[in-house]
Amino acid sequence: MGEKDVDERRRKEELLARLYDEYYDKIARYIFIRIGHQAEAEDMAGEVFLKALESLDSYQERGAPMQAWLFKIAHNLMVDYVRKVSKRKTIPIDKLEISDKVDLEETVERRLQSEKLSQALKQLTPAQREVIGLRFFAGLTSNEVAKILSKSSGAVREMQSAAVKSLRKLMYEGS
Amino acid sequence: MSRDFDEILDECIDRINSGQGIEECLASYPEHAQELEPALRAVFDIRAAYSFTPRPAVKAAARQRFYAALDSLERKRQEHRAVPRRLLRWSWAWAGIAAILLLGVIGYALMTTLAPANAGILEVRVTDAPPQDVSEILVSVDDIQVHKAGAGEASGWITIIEEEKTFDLIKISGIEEVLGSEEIEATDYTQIRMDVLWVEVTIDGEQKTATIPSGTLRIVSPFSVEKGEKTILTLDFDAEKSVKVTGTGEVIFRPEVKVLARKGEGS
Repeated sequence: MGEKDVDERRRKEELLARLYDEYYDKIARYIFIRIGHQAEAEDMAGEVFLKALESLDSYQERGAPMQAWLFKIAHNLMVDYVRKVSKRKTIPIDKLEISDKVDLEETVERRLQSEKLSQALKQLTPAQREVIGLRFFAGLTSNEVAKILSKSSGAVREMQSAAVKSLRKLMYEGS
Repeated sequence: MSRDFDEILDECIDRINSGQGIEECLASYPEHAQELEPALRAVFDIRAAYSFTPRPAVKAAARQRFYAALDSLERKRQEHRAVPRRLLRWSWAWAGIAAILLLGVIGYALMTTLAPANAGILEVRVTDAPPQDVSEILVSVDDIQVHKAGAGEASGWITIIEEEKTFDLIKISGIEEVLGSEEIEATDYTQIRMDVLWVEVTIDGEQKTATIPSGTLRIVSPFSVEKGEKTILTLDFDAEKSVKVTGTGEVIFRPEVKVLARKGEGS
């Protein structure tokens, strides 16, 4: 590897390191909304950055910003995870993980709400769930989501609207 | 939903992501409020339901693994380069010039008397990217310690240097400066800490005493001291990020440091 390549590589590593603190949390939440398991989501978020480091030479700055590239890696890890798990499970309320310091009443309320939302999310198409995860939790723009999902920005906005409409009906109207 | 509504909803989600509330979005599009409000409430509820904060310990452990992987990559790169010791500089973390401090630590085998054959040396180096218009950054530290892996928080700290040491992050760029050395057990360590006593920064010829929000600099970074070997720790200071000047002219020193460990010459 020539000196120029080494410097380029170091620059990418530096950029990746800078993204770590802000995007670890977002990636963990994005994964969590898809798999519903907090500990797994946290582990996989760490794995995303290690995978990114491994494949950093393949990242091209001309394309999607590095943040979007990280979510693509997270998406691929999730696909592998879901394949391993093989079928979606309903998360029983008593197994839903919670933070130690949350008030019990609030926790039960959150659990019920999370269970309802979990059921509602299952009714969406996989693409709609991706859009929800990337837009609401990763905070990416619809243009960035479009690059990750290889769709047009218009298609992403349509899926987003349809997903929100479905979720609203399922969560509040029960149908 | 109409295509216009899709775009409006999309814009409102961008605004919610950037911290705005539902009311602000509704105020921008009152003609769509009836349709928009329930959609935005659903967005808020979804975010709230899945809004968890990753456990700090888990995140820290993952961060440590990530930085250990980065360290390993840079070590391998350095091992492939033939660079004169005098010019050796570490530019991994952030662009700039290396200011290097060496802290020598000699490791010894547990439960044996100290002998050169069982000694390992730990050196700490600092690299630095100085900001523009800064001609001097004097940093004074003391009580430099390292923490043994797996040891208790209070009992696991081992003092390497107790006395005050002062160095100029600008002047020592590209040079290795030894802070001191100490014999310590050949084992794994996970942290370095030191007390930052004072910092004086010369900007545009004027020397100013910096505010130090936190007097203790603590860096989590795993490294090992091996029997009979020298371990070099490089403290990669990014002065550009560590030194900030506020609008009122106050200088704040909030060190941004990365620790990189590698093997050096024998003890």
